[in-house]
Amino acid sequence: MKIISFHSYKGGTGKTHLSANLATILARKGFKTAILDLDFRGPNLQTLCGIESEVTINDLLFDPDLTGQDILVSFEDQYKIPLFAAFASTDFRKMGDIVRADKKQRQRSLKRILRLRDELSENGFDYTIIDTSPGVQMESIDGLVISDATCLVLKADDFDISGTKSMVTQLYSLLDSKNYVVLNRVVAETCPPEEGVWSSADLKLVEKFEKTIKDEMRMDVITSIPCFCEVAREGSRNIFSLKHPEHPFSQYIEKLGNALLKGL
Amino acid sequence: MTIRPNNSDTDESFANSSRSKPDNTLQYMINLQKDLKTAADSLRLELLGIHKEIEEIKATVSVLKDSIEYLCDRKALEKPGDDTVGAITSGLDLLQKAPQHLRRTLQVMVQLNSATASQVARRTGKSRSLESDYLNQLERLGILSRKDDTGKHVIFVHERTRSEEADEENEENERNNDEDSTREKIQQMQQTARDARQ
Ligand SMILES: Nc1ncnc2c1ncn2[C@@H]1O[C@H](COP(=O)(O)OP(=O)(O)OP(=O)(O)O)[C@@H](O)[C@H]1O
Ligand SMILES: [Mg+2]
Repeated sequence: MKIISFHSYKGGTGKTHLSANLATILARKGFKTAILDLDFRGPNLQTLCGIESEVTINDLLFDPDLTGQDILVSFEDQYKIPLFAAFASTDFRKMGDIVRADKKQRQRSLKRILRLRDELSENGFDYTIIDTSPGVQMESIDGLVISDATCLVLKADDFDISGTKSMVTQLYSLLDSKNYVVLNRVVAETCPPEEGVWSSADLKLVEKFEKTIKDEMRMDVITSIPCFCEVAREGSRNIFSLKHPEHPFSQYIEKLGNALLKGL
Repeated sequence: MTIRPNNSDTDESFANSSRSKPDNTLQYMINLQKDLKTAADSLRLELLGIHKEIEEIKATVSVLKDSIEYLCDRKALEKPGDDTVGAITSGLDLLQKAPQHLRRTLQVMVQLNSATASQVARRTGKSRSLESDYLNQLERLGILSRKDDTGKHVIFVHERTRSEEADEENEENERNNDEDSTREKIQQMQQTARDARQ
């Protein structure tokens, strides 16, 4: 099993959307895929998947009697693809428990995340996609530690990248995973690009931007996903590529998936 | 401390009066003797006070010395706990404390808490001898320690099944009791010092 995580320095860059859509696309290819919501601070994967999960990863971290089986929700019947998800709790009290966790509990959490990883692997999962909290939250780092590939999602209209840069130098340099930058919500002259294809003038702009980021971060830009109004309009109500598999956004995610799998 | 006769005569007035009034000289000498005796008494008292203070300081120093020795001994005997160098309490610790090639082995140890090289090898899919070498490297880094009786490596901070958790809780209580008795012991020593002062 390979693990791919989505992380960012700042919030709202598109981690949850990219995670959920990538997981969907991998499952549609026939891979048994799990998506784990490790964004305990601001979980919204449940809303995106349109469900309310009773038992969550939060419970797994605090209750030694729970296993991955207890918290995984299957979408096999609903979408006819081998897609599974484990959610972070939206219960305010349980979110607080994570914030207040002492050293001992933090260690338990790490241990249970490691165990969950092994369990998923033993249960024949091909891929696990992890959605994280932005910044250097401990739970996010637990997710990054077990990842084979890490996507640092940068919102292309955010020009203040000094924080991201210092996180990359201090944290990403320690990671064992293959690390890439994903530029999301990229805007050029014609936006969104027609049929998802940039005009040659816009392509030059995008490539220039990619080069700047690559030089600054010393990381490869694996893909640049345009800003699509339809995606923004649908917001966090559903997994976009499930509903619109032919849409250019879904094709970009497919391209991202192919590039990631190739590097693993 | 100044020694001064109780009457207000100065040395000068004494010199003058001894010349002019020999009758008063005797009286003056008697007074002076009295005054000197009083002064000597108060000097003796003051010296006694100083002596007592020195004794108190000595007692306090001795209590402090005992306390320091006692705490040093306890510290040396202390089992590794949450604050030991080797404690791995988060993913960040895994990244910061162990070099890349040892992290997979360490992850297994975080999960198993205590394991032999063969058990680790079964999990990681690497050879037993390689894992044995990795475990030794982690031991040298102070992250793992070896259980003397079984030869198993143990990770410092513990988190285990329910029954083991209960054991751990007992240990914690014992440790707390120990801490209480340390506090009591220090309080006793402080009391001894106070008694010595009185
Ligand atoms: N390529 C895109 N084009 C247009 N809108 C996008 C695109 N990607 C994401 N969005 C929009 O950006 C918003 C933020 O996305 P998302 O919630 O996935 O970000 P996030 O990084 O998970 O945020 P947080 O850090 O708060 O968890 C959403 O409303 C989503 O619809
Ligand atoms: Mg999110």
